[in-house]
Amino acid sequence: METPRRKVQLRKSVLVLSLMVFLLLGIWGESFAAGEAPKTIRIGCSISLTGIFGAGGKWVRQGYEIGIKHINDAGGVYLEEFKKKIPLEIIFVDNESDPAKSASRMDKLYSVDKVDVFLGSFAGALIIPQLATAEKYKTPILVTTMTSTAEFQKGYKYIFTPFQSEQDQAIAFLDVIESLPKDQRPTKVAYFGIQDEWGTSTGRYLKEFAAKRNVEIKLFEMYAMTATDFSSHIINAKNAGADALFTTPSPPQGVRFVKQMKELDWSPKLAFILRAADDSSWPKNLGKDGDFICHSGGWDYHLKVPGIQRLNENYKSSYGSFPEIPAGVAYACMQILADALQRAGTLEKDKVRDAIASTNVMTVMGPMKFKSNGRGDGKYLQVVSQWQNGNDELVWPKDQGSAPLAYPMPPWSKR
Amino acid sequence: MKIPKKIWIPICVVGLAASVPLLTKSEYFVNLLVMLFVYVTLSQSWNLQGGFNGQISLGHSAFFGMGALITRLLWMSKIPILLAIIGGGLSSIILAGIVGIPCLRMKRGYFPIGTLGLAIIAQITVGNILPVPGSLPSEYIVGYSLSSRYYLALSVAIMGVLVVYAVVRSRTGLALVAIRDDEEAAEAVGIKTFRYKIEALLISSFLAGLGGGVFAYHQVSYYYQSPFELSWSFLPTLTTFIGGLGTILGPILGSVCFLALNELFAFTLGEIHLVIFGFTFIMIVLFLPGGLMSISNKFQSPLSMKMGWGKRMRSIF
Repeated sequence: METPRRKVQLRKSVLVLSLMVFLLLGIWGESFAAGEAPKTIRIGCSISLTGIFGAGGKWVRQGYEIGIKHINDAGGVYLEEFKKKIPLEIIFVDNESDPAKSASRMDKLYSVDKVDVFLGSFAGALIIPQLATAEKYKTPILVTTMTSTAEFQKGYKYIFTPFQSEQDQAIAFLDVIESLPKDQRPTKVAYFGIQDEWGTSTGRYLKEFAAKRNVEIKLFEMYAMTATDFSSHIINAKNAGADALFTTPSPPQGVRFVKQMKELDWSPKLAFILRAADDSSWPKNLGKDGDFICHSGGWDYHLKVPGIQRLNENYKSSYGSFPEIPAGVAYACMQILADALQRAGTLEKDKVRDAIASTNVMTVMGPMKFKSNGRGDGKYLQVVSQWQNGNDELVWPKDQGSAPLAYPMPPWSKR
Repeated sequence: MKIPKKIWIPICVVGLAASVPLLTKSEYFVNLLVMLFVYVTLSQSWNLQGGFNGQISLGHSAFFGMGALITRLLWMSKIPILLAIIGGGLSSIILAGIVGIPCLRMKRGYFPIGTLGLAIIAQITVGNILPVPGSLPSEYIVGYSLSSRYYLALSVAIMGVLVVYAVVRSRTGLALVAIRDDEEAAEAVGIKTFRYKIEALLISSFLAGLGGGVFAYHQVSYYYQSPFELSWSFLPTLTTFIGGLGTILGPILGSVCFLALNELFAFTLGEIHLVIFGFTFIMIVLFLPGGLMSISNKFQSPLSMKMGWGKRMRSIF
């Protein structure tokens, strides 16, 4: 008969044995798991779902989500290391449109969620901190609406964007001018830039490229990021006889700018209003007054490239409209990422980084490669769209256009 | 020498905080703590002026931003980071001396408005002069060490707490509290109110500048105007009110609560997290007007009594 003391000893032995078996199983299980394919490829994205860039963040998210759906519908991405297709999984965290949180929320994605790769937010102000953070973690990042070239000249290795640069925007404007018959071209350009990094450097590149092409920048003025009154700039342009406008306002500023142009009766032959006129709400805010305004947003859903029809149809059925520019660029980022992962054949970050760097793939932005600094080297980065009868038409490049350029912009009295 | 019981808890907390980078591999958690220490430094700085002196400042973003700006510029010019941060703190003192002192002439509700104006002017000016982002070049990123930033942030936060504690326990502290409670009465009994208010402002701005310096050293990339944003004025105001105005522990508790809930809600509640976050703090202010520190007044804790933190001590802590 077992004594109570022996019973206790027996229980202790069983407990110790169980613990040892458990530990051994754990170690064995872990070593076994190390060679196993992951259930998903984890992509981290700190994105603006709330705050001032909330709307833009949602467009970017929509593009990523449709991209992931299309890739996962085909079973995911084939990785040679695991000899199978693995679905993509994206983890979104809200950065509240706060640049500091835009970066700090990536800390969580990296160290808690253990993501394999990052995707970027919306808006340069939120993307810029993300680039340095991805570099810090030596984890590749693909970002959408990022025109700044300065960040791509800092020697970072893990950052990529297929989006147009400030140079592309200036080149697009000058290309359109040069495409016009010589005797009808505008001859005096007024540049009004917003006083931020983008406005400053876009103006600098415009000045530099215009000088090479013998286009005169008659006026070069800046306005504050919070400016609401542009009358002094408009009057200066009118007095100087400027017949082309190139400006970089925020969306509310862009609407005000056009209203004040009308009030002061200044109608240049060609008007480029970047960023503000990208928004699909442009004709709702301005009605007929928004017509003839050109913009260069870096992408257009009218492009005649493979895959764009599927994106347009799926986007329209999900969200009731054609894709906004950030959504199209985000979708292209997913295409580039899936292609790079497949070529890398592994989730090792350096190999994925090298695969992205050597990208040569057809996307909804057209054929896409990357320059050595990580900026996109695409065929259609210098697209120009124009509002015509309340519709956003692609007018440049001509072979991709949905409508010819409406030129010149008629005087306000004749509209 | 026998260490008093009431000192044990802070020593244990600091010891635990100092061992965090050795205990965890989670960079997220360590980064979060760095930001917590920045919040604590800034909140203590605000508390000295707003909590103990009754001068509700909405201009702390200008001091914080100035500290961040000068630290970053000095550091990028290859000046050692410790000197750069001290330079940042001193630059905030200079700003406070030039612009803040005239603001102190304003009475009652005009002082917050005046300091708010200062914060707005500083943000716009820096945004216009330096519209570019201050991202670190790749050679700085390659050598980025999180643990060095962690210990620097921890040291600055401890220093901030100790400085405020020392000031509050001194003759100056008594004068500051007297001014807060009734400025005219303080003046009537011979306290040079303007001089003491200047002292509080200069110490407070120095601490805010140091906090900005830590921020500049920790962040790999941000726009130069970001630390000048008004949210850096509202943050210490909010955390101090949540924790307990005019107490040493209040801003620490408020900062912990603010940061922890913000992160927790952001990761679990989706797009409505900011609404719930705001609602939570409205509830705290409504039901705990004395902040989280007032809980201890409502519920006498046997532990606090045993540790020698009686009512008299709690009034300071």
